[in-house]
This record gives sequence, C-alpha cells and structure tokens, in this order.
Amino acid sequence: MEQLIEQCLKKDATAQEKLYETYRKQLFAVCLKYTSSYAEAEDHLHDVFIEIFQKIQNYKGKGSFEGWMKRIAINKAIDKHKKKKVFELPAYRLGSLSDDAHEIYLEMEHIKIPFEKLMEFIQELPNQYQLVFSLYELDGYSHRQISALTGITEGTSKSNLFRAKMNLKKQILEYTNHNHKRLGHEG
Amino acid sequence: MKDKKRIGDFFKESLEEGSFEPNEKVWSKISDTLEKRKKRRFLWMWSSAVVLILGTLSAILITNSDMKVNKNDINGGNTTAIGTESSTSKDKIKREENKHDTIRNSVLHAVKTMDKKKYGPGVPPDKIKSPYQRKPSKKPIDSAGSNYSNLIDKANADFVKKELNDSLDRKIEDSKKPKDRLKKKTNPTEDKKDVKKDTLDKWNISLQFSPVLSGYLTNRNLLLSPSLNRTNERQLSYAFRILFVIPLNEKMKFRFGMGYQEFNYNAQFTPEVTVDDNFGGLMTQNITSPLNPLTQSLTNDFNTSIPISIEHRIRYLQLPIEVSYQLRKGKIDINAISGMDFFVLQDDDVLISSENTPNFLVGRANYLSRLSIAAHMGIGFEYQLSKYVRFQLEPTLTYQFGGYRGRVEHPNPYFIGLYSGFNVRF
Repeated sequence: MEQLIEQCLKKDATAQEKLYETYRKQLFAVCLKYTSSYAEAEDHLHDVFIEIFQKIQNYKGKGSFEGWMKRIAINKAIDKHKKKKVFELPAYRLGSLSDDAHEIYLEMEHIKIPFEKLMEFIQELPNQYQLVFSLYELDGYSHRQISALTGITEGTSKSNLFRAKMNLKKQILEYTNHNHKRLGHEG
Repeated sequence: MKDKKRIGDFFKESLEEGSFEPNEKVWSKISDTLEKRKKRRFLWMWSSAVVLILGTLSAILITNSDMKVNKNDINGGNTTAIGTESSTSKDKIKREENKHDTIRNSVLHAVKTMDKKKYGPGVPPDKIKSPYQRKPSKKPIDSAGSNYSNLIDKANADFVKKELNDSLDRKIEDSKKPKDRLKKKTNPTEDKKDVKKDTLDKWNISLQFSPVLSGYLTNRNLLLSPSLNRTNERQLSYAFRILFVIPLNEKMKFRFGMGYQEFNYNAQFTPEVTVDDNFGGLMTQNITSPLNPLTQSLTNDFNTSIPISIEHRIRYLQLPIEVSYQLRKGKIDINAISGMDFFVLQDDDVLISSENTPNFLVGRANYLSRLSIAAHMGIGFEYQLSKYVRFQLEPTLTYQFGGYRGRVEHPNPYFIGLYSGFNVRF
C-alpha cells in the first residue's frame, strides 16, 4: 500500500487507477449513504477521488489510509449539504427524554429486505435526516461531533435522527406489508 | 420471544454485507479530469515561463537603452553628471587623472632639483608658498639636519600634491559649470530631452477590462443543428488583461502580458423529436461526454414538450504581444495598436437545463483547438489623469486563426473588444 501511495504522490496514472480499483466499492458505499441517487453518488465518488489524488501528500501515515479516504468522502458530503443549506429546516422537539427513550426497534421475524433497497430508503430520506442518520448510525459519529461538523445544535441532530428512524421504519413496514400481500396473492 | 433489533444496527449490518459497484465510466471521468488538470498546470507553467522570458528580455532592453543614453550625454556634453556608473565617463576621468599625475610628477621633480641646485638640500624655494617655508640656513648641514630637511621636503611635496589635487578638483568642477550654464541657456531643449529620457526609462503596467462582441458562436454554434429553431440566443462575453509596456522610443511602445477571454453562448430550443434522438437537435457528436449517449440518465428530465436551455462556456487564456505607435500627442494621445495573441483553451463546458433540471453539465465541446493564434489591431486613446496614471480606451478587432480543430469551418472567427483601463507608471 505504501508503495502505491508513493506512486500516486508522483501522479503515476497506473497507480491512481489501481488505487481507484482497490477502494471504489468501499467509497462508493459511503457516497451512496450521503447522496440522493446513484448518479449523484457517482459524481460524488469522482469528486472524492480527485480530492484524494490532489491531497494525498497530506496523508502522513497516521491512522489507516482507508479511514483517511473515508473522512474525505464524508467531509465533502457535509460540504455539499451545507451548500444546499439543508440545516435550516425546522427541527422536531424531543423534549428532555434520554436518547434511549427515542430508540426504535424492528421486529425481525418477517423482515427480509435486499441491501440495495435499504440504501434506497436512506437516499429517499430528506437531506437533513439522511445526513444525521448516516453520520450517527452508519459511521459512528456522536451528536457532539455532528454538531461541530455541520453547525446544527446537538438537539437538532437528535431530533433529525429520530425523525429519520421513524421515516425508515415506516418505509420498511410498508415494503414488508406490500411483499407479504404480493406473496399471499401469488400463493 | 420475538427477535428485536435497533433500526440503526439493522441498517448498518445489512449494508456491510452488501457490495455496491459504481459505473465503469466513473474512472474514465476521473482520468479525464486528472489529465485536464495536468495540462492546465503545464499551460500555466508554460505561460509563466513565456512571461518571465519576455520580462527578462525587456529588462535587458531597458538596461541597454539606459547605457546608450548615458554614453550620448557624455560625448555630446549633455546633462549627465560626472560620476555616473557609465564606463565611458569613468575612462574620461581616468584619462584626466593620468594626465594630471604626469604634470604633478614633473613639478615635484623640478622642485626637488631647484632645491638642491639653488638652496642646498632640504630647502624649499621662496616662490612656492608653503606653510612650512623657512629662512635659508647658514649653518653646515649635519646628519640630523639632513633628516630634518627630508621631513620638510616631504611636507612640501605633500603640500604641492594637495595643491595640485585641489586644482584638479577645481578643473573638474569647472568642467561641470559650463554645462550647467549651457543647460540654463538651452533649457527648453534640454527639458524635452529630460522628459524623453524619463519616458524611455519608465516601463509601466496596464490593467484593462473589456466587454466583447463576437461573431464567434451566434447562429452557427456547432452544438445545435443548423436547422433548429432557437430563441433567446445571446452572448455575454468579457475579457480582462494585464499588459507590461516598454517604451522603445519616443513614439513606439512594446506591450506584452496575459489575459482572460470568456465567451458565453446561451440559447433555448424545444426538441422537435424525442430525447432518444440526441435531444432533437443537440449535436452530440460535437460533445465529449461520459454520458454519451445523453439519454442514459436524463430521459425523465428532458422531453419534447419542454424547452431546453443550452449554455456553452468557453474560456481562453490570452497571451498578447503588440506594438503601439503614437499618432497624435495632445491632451488625449492617440495610438495605433497592432499585434498578435496566443489563445490557450481553458474551459469548454456545455450545460443544459430545463424547468425540471437545473444546470446539468453535459460534457465538453470537442471541436475547438487547444491552442490557437490571433491577429489584432486597434486604436488607443490615452488621457493623463496624473503624473503616474493614465486612462485608456482601446477598441480592438481580433481575428482568430485555427480556432476550430481539423477542417471544420470556423463560423465567424472575429471579436471586437472595447478595452478600457488604467496605465500605471512606476
């Protein structure tokens, strides 16, 4: 890997392509979580790799290279969300209950949904909910970190997360019910 | 007991199991962008090198013209002061000093000879008015007296030397005085020469902006089918540039620099056939795009019933080299300007939009040359605002050669700019 990074530092096109081939799927999954469509995610992936190749000299070997690239993808996504000004929408007030009180659970008995469909559900979320859900649940950021990165308050972050989960649960249930009806009909 | 799972965990685990494959064209797009940036960096380096070379040549030219002026001044008895760094003036002073050294040595020799013959050793003659003068000694000269008289000799010699040096200084001063008188007498002519020299010495910088009217794209834009009915067709173009100006003589100036030229072509058209047929008039063979054929992801957003707007953005880096010649000098100077430009294509983006979709970057037009040249001519008007700042207005006609690639016919390769700006002398 170090050799590949060194060659990329020298702007070697073959090395750049190899790096892309190695990490395209991984980073594309990150891009999909923060965008609204496949086409937009592909554009984002393009921008992310351009930035990686331009700023590769900034990677000093501290931490994993994958983590560094992933952070670029996420930060770039946050920048794009900021440009869209998605944080201005009114937040849902949660009151003073603990985080756990707002946790949403799924009964897994009859839930079988392909991962592509789940990604679609995330992409269909309103931007401000999608961003917080992906940062908190999928990439492990805390509400404090989200607040610092996006400029929204921790309260807004929590309420956005709650609304995102409610929305996702609704979509999952609708999808499951629809499938059950279809299967019952076919049966 | 029913199996329950946090919704966040459910999503995380499910997505980690899956694998998402981006379109193969993403890499070619990345590769294109990297290549484009590499070329752009190369072009900037190249253009910087050109400017650097031109700047160095100009500096050499200026230095040479300075030396010529100084030489002429000395030979022709003009106003340049003695003691300048000119090699000719140094030679002249050296010759004067050598001449004077010869005189001084012969005088010293004569004084010493006179001393010994007439008054005995160590006694200075009365005729030389020295502060060390003394009455002739009647006593015989002993060895101690001989030493003493040697000291007196040395003092006298130093005095004479000092006198002669002072005389030389006075002579040099005198050689300046008639010039000053001459300068006073011939004041108007000399002043004119001073101004001329001053003008020649100073190089200056012009900063100019211009709206540009061009026949560059209108009606004949190769992105749209010629038969297509288009509305709201318009162009908004502008240019700006920085010019380094070096006076070659009283009337002629050499100018070079860098500029930026933008052409924006906008038009609206309603596709006559379905989007499957290249948007019913958008000539996609003239567009390089990772999205070709364009119908892949845009079918839903663009259809025959909705008018489509097209925007073609062209940006050139312009490197002008030109000569200006003063036709009339007055309150407003009038100059004839002629020169050439190198045009380096920087951007060539094609964007489309409809009421459903905001500006969508389709790709790049592929029929414009990366590098082309142009000839230009114009008339320059200059109005002096202060000693150092002049306002400039320069209507200029530019004709581009080789703007299109291969054998494609260039529609109207001319553009008219009304450059206005300020010239600053340093």
